[in-house]
Amino acid sequence: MSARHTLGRMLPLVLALSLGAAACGGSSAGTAAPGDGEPVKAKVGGSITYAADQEPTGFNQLTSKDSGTSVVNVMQGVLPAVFKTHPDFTVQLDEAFMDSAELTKDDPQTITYKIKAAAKWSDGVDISAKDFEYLWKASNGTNKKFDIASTTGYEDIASVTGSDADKTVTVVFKTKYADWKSLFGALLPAHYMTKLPGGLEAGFNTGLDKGFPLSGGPFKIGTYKPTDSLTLVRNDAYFGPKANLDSVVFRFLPESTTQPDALKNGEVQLIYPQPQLDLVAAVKAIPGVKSQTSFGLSFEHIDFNFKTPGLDDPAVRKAIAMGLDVDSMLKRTVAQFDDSVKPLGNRIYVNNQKEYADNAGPYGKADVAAATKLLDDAGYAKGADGIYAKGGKKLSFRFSTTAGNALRETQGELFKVQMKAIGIDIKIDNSKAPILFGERLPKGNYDIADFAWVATPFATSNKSIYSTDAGQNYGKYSNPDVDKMFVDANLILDDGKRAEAFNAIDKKLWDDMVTVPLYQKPTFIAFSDKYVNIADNASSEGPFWNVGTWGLK
Amino acid sequence: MEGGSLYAYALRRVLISLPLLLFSSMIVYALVHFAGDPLRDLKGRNPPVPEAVLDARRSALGLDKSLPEQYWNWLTGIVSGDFGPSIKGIDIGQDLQVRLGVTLRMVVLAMLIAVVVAMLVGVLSAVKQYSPIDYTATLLGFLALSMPVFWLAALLKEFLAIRLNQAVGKTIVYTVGDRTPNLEGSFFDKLPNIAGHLVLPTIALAAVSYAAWSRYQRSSMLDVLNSDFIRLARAKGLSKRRVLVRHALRCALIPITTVVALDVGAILGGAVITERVFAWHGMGEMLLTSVNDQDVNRLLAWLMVSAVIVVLFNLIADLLYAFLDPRIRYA
Amino acid sequence: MPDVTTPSPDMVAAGQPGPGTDREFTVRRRSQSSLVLRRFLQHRLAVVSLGVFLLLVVLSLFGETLWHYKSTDITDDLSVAPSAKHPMGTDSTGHDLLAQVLAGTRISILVALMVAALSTAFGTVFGAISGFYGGRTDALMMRFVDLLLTIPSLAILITLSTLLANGGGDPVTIALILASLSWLSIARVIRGLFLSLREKEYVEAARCLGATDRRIIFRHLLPNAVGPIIVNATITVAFAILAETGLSYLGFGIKFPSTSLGLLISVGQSAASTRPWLFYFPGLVIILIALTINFVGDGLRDALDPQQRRVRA
Repeated sequence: MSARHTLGRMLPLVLALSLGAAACGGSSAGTAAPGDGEPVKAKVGGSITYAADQEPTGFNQLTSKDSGTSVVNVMQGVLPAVFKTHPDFTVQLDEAFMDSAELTKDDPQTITYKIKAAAKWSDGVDISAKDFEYLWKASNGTNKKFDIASTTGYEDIASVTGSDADKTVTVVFKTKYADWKSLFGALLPAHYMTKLPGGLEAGFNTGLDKGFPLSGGPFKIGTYKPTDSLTLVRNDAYFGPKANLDSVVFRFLPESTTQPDALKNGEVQLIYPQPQLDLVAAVKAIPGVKSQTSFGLSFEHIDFNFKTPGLDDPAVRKAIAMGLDVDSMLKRTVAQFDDSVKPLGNRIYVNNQKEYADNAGPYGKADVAAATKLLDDAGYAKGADGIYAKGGKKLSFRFSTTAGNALRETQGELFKVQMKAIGIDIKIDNSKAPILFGERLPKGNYDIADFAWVATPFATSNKSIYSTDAGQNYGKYSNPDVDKMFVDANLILDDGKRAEAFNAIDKKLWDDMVTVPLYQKPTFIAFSDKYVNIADNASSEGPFWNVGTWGLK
Repeated sequence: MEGGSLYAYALRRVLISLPLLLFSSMIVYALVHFAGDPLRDLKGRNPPVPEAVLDARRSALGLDKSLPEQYWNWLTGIVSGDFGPSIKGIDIGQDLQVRLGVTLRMVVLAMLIAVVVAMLVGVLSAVKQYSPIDYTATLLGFLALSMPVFWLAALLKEFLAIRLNQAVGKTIVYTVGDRTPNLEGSFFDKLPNIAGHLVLPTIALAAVSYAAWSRYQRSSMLDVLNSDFIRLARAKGLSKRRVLVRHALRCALIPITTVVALDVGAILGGAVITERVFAWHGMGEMLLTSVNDQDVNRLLAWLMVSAVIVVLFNLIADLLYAFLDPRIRYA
Repeated sequence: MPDVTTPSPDMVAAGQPGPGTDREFTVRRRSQSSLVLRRFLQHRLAVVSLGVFLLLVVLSLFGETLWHYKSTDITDDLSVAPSAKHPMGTDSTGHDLLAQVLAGTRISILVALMVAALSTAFGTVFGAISGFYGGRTDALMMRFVDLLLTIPSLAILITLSTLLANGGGDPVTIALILASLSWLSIARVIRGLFLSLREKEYVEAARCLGATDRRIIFRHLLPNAVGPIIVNATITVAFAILAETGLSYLGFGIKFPSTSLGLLISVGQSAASTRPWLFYFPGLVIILIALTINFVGDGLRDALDPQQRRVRA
């Protein structure tokens, strides 16, 4: 090893890095979902400071303005949810809040929710069918004045009716919606919201901009100092198990590179940054800090624009996917801080979901011979510069990803090299994230893009990515068979059969070579080992899903 | 000098700067307008945001109006103290107030330290020109001048903060933020914490200014020392010390005072990087986030405040110059 | 005196010849330049710095062709510490850092020289016209400079970068953006100089002989301003190197797949404690460049402004 030539003190460091940095520190890395067992008993009292990379923009996570993770993280411990996604990606009823929530009739699809009698807002008002109704009316898209982030699912509901002193809620759908468990994931107190100044819509849209005094969860918002910090304090009126910690401080530290130093220096006790090699290595070297890498529901992929001449040819897309070397990409990026990462062979389900099936077949395995054969057979010929062309048109494409994201920029560089080997020319053309996602992708201003799809355990959401002319079908892929398969799959209320249907769709998407999934994105949590029960939840719930159980040893 | 004419002069300077502010606001407003779609953050969401919501947001922010109309609305608002709506729903007035305080605390302290050290070092190296002291000061000054601020900051964190804290076994120097959240107690209880947060950013920010100013002080001191009146004073038999302190120093302070006042704009700019490295939530962060968010009203609020500070200090520089140098008269 | 001329806010002000220097400048030019050269050569630190800087330029221009790795090469050595094979180590992709630093230095110096050339040319002409004509022209042109100086420069840089390059771009765009601001101080200095120079008798004499304004500006006045112009240009190079670094750190500078020292150092700054070679080597090279240029500038200033030398005697 070359480290012999250098200062002795660098040796252990280099060794650690070349071993994937998995062995050092008191960390538990892996794809398992630790912490999903029964919570450990903790002391009551104490406080934890979390390095929040963003300040919440307000407190109503249902509005388009506040639907970001910065708000969701704060409100996880404040707003009641019927179902929560657990770290193993199963969707489970919150038993502190609900007695039951079941499909009681197939046609029309009817769900009956039974709220616990004890479930009350912190001001003593019952959590009731009125809150369900309020959420539905704001979210179903009929009243255009509501600034709602998404209408998915709510637009399919025909009625929301209360009975049993409003503790039983009956929801009847007009169109079947298989992922009904994704609904009512954050309830707001209707009695409070409707009395906010500005009226019904303004109250919903901006009424919670400055704060939210109530709570239906283990914590409530204590003090909020804009630009500096926000403190959650224990909700003593909570009907479920009381929180252990007195308070949780969200300290706003937008620059993730400052977080390891702040953790080391004891200025924060919990960080949840985007993992990078140096950040992970630096954190693992801190004594008294536990860390965990998980693989979440969002995954990197290569996206093709079907409107780009050349890429409309399936042979070219397949050749690209054949020539792609996913293992090499992983080795030079994510695997350096967690070597348990695996190539992903499915765009609907990820490796650690039980529905997952590897449908990748021959793709992504750097088969240069097969890739060039595909191009030869399709009538392309190599020019003097080693680049394939047909009819005078060279196979030369732009590759676009988020500028400033070192991992993705490296992926682009490797992609370019790998494509050169199969005779396809790639030009790097990256943009900053807001420009890429807000302007270039929606306008179809790209040839090949590398970005992540952020999924939920609810596979129906993929419909808007792969259906003809759907909102997020940036590449303009269109196959009537796939359109129909999505519609049909969404009508299947049986979980096992629905998974089969979605895997069949994924196979079809491989056959058409719509996108190339690369790998699941890792998430990284690190915290002082004085605390117990902190565990990442790599689904969209984030680390605060069980904040009530956190505590000091 | 006569008081009345000085006021008239100051007033005229202020009046001249008003059109300047107006024009610069116009330029920046247009620049941001053409820089891209302010709603792109919403448009890139997953799942997609309903079209009706986008329309409502567009009209709430006035983006459906023409550029001159938008600018006019902003201008009439700003005259009555209304900064206009922020894309992210931030209360701009309150935001400014908090951030200005945070940034000024850092900037003022850094400037004070830089001025004092720069004067001492500058005078000393001029008096002892070409001595080891002069060479050391010159080298250090140039080093500070040649070092990227964030590079220096990383060194400070590693060697000054973390090593020091480990050595004493207690956090006394902090690496992020301007104070620990939810700090309780009296002013004197808080003081060590606030001071501990100030150490690193102040050093980083002061270093560059110190370097420039100490060089400046050195050369203006040299100018004075070489001038005839100092020779005359020495020839008259005054002690070297007296000549230095009573005559030379006073004259040599004139140029540096104005340079310091004029540099305020540059320091505010430099604070942007310093704030980011040390995760301070000041004006610098406001600039960066509002540019990234295409939040034109917030950016313009930042701009107006910064520009007013720059104009104000330019004025102060002029007045100081006149005050310190009795040869200048305002007609 | 209706309009108080304050000293220029920048260090460059020190490069302005003090009272009496223009007399020296108007003596035969050849002897003046050889005098300056001799004085500069006496400033040993400046001479050494110039040598080091030129060496860096040569290295960055030809180093990559001589070194057995190119900046785009991807080796199988991932994140290894400095060794004989990779004197500056490698990054996580497998790039040889020495090759990257050489390429980055080339781009950074190129950008800096472009900024210096553009801003000196424009600033000099702008300042010369403003100072030479004076009066209303001067007032108008200087109000424009004031206008741009009211806005903290970083704000303009960032906004321009967002506007022109979607927040960062290729070296030429970044150079243009940096040059669009750095001409201001040069314009001010030259304007001040011309304001006093134009009152000189020889200007009147030239005019009596029927010289055009253009000829007076370029043949008679400009040669007298060469000293401050050179000093300013030198300092602009150092400014541009550091400004590019700052912009890259904030994410508004040179963008991948282009590279620069600023980009390397801002990527490497998170590696300070884990892979120190990625942090220290690009940083030290930047400091070396900026330091040598500053020393050269200092030497030039001393050489062109003999006032300060008297004390030594």
